[in-house]
Amino acid sequence: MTNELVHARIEQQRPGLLVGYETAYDGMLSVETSREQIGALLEFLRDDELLQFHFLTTLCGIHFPEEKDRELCVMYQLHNWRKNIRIRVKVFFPVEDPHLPTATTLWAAANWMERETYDFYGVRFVGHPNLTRILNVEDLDVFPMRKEYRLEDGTRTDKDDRFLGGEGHEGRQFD
Amino acid sequence: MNGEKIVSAEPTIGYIHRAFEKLAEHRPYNQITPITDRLNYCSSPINNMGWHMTVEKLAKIEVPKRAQYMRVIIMELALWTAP
Repeated sequence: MTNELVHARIEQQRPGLLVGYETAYDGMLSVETSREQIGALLEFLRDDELLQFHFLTTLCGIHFPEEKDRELCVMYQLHNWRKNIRIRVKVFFPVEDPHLPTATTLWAAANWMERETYDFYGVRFVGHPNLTRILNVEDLDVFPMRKEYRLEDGTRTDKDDRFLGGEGHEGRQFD
Repeated sequence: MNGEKIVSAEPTIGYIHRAFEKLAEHRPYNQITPITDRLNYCSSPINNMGWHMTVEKLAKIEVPKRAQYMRVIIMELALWTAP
């Protein structure tokens, strides 16, 4: 099975699900869909008897601050073990309204990965059974992997590097 | 708990995240290599290789045969020393 066949199969069986596709720099097929269609596309990729992308390898958030109304992206990587072919699915949405339907109904493995994406990028996965922070402290009030957050937490007062030759924490630039 | 039986459990994996991705946002690609060491210190060179191969794919760099052999040897040694 090739990338062309996979793409043709999606377009033939479910026309209108994709809004774009490309063969990425690493040779993997990368398709883009909309927030409304992402659930249907993932379910089709998993259940179609020819494609059989039954394994969710990973799922993560990406932040593109410069792209208006497409600031946030969630990327799914699926794998068909039987034919050893992979596909990347991307969906973009505005940062002001970051929500997506959950994939936990399709793969139990999506549970923690969606919690991580929520924790770091603030994407709300509608229908997730337990959408709470997973790696950061529970009372953190920012989504630290968004690009506007700098390397060091500017609100911390317990670090003081004046004795190490620095000028103290406040005002240090990392970019 | 019900007597000595666990009825339900909620796993918590702890505060193990060290913001490698955020560190990497601010560094040139060659300075990201030592961060990838720390992802799993039992097999540092293998993690280095994962990062190097990513950069090579992005920049379309072809690695000489000799370097590829050396990489395999180093990765095999790392594999044997890992517990």
